Amino acid sequence: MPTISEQTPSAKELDKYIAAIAQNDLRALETLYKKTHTAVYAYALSLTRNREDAQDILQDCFIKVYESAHTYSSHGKAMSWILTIARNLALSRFRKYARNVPISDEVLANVFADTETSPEDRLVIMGCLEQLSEEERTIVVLHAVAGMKHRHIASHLGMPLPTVLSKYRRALKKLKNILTGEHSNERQRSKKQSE
Amino acid sequence: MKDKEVKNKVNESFTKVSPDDFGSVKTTCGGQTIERGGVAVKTAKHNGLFWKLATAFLALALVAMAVLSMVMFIPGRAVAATVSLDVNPSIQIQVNSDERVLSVTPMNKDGEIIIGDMDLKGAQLQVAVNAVIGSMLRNGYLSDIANSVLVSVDSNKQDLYNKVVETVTSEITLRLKENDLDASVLSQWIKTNDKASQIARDYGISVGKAQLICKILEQNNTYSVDQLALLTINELNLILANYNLPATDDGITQNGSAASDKKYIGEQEAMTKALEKLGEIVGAEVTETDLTRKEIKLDYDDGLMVYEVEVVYNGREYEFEVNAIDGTVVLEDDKNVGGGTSRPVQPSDAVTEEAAKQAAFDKVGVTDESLVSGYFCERDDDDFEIEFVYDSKKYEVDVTLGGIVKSVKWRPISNTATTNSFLDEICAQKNLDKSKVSNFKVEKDDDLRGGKEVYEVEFDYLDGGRRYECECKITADGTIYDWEQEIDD
Repeated sequence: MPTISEQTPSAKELDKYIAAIAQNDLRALETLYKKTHTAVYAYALSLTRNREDAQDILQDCFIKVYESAHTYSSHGKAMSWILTIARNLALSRFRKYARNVPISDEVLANVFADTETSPEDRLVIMGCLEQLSEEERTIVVLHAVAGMKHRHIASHLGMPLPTVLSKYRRALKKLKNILTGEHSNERQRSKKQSE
Repeated sequence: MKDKEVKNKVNESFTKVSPDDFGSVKTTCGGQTIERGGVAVKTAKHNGLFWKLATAFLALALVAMAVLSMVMFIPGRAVAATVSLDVNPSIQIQVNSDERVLSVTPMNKDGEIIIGDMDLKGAQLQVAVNAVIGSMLRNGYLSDIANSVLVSVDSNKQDLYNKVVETVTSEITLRLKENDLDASVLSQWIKTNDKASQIARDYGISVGKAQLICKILEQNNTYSVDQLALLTINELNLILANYNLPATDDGITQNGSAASDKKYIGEQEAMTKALEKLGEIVGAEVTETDLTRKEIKLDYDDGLMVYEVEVVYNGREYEFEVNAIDGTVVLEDDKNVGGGTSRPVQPSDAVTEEAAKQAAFDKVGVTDESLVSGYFCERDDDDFEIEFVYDSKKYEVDVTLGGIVKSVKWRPISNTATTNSFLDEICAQKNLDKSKVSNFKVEKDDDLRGGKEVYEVEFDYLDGGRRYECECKITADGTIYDWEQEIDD
């Protein structure tokens, strides 16, 4: 299995694709999609916690990238630029559909429909979506899936670097507990409290 | 579990759920006219017919997407539980909350034989189980010598777990009954368990079977995963019968009869064989009435199903292992327990030191004896204690007088020369100050890179008042890759 560092495209590589897309190169768009769609989808999912919304954002995001490639000027920060587009699409979706209602268990579980996931994969993703705060979730996804450095995440989210680092560590600790089964008691306790 | 492992797991899990559908993006972008820098650029030249066709296609695609998204929102489409049926064939069935089958997936080659071209999607779980078990019976995977089925259910709701287990267990029992067989059904709730998931991945078995193996290892860690992974559920069920597993929510429940042992010679025959061997050792005929104590159980050792026979005769306890298939007997151990005329161990009972050494080397996997150092063997009344260094590990192996390896202990021998050379190499290549490095750890990786051995290195680096956590891999010839460094706050 390729390691994360091998999967994550370099900033230079992404700049090259965007420059070609600005010349209407659909093959460059396809390559960019292949290299970054997981990061965009994971980020959209972390924001919306809804499979259908995340899929729509994924599609709209790359259409927007295609439309706006010629305006791209943040050289070296392509991933951040693409993810900003995804975030704006999510925000506009929230405004449009007033999605402030809590997401049901069924909608959350729908994330795994038609996917080949192991119980552990499901636990990790449900852990991210249910147990982590939105900020923690976003930071974890940006670092672990999008391959962004913590300082770039800080700049992307407009947060101080130490805050990003401490939230990342806290989130990882929670996920570690979930993966090692230590979360079940905490979860039961918090459920009882909310009841 | 390391942070990096959690990070990799997050990456892997999100990658699996991420859709890869560039087609819909391409369809939209392919026909757009985009204003770029004030100049209208039509991205593709199409004639009127193309546009008509493209519009019609888009309309159809939109309708299809709308229908699809409506279908996806119907609650009955959501996976509510995943049921794994393991015998030796392994089958995974996903069901919704009404126990309607959403998918059936063979998890190994035997599973593919069982499923064949059956299409069980949309069927009730009971019907699907009936068909799967029927196919296992027809193909001989379930019979009077193998009557065990492992049912593992992954669901986050206890009531649904109970309901599914009830449905599946009843159907299996009924189906086997129709074939004049008494089923032995093991059921368990799948819980996240790093070790089980790792075993499942490494050995290509279901998570359910891996979880069952973990439960057995918790009871007796002298078994090896390598060997247990190869066993059928019936064999694992037989081993399981020797232990009283604790009743926890992720425990294993057994329904129906015991696992079939009809494939083996049986306890009575095994006892007879053991007593024949005992007669040869003591030079007299021994019958069961001559024994002051006797115990027998079917177990697994060194890749074989064996009857472990323990008897006390004339103040001495003898342990035999009787091959459960062919009845070959090996004296594993004997010791004086008092209460009778003690008989010292006779040279004829014990294997030679050379044979004990070979048994120890075979167990550890020594392929080249010239690489063994510090060899030492001591024989006492009960066993051979063998110590040696091999492959940067110091081994202590206990071998019985009968030549059976009783235990293997090892600890790594730190190779200071290797560690120092890697530290020098990394500092030189990454331009680091060696004096700022601390907690430098080197661990050999299982991988090879370019035919070279790979080592995983971790260390802390203090610079400018900040502590960095650094990780990388380095090959035996000093190639560094997978370099990662993070500020540790």
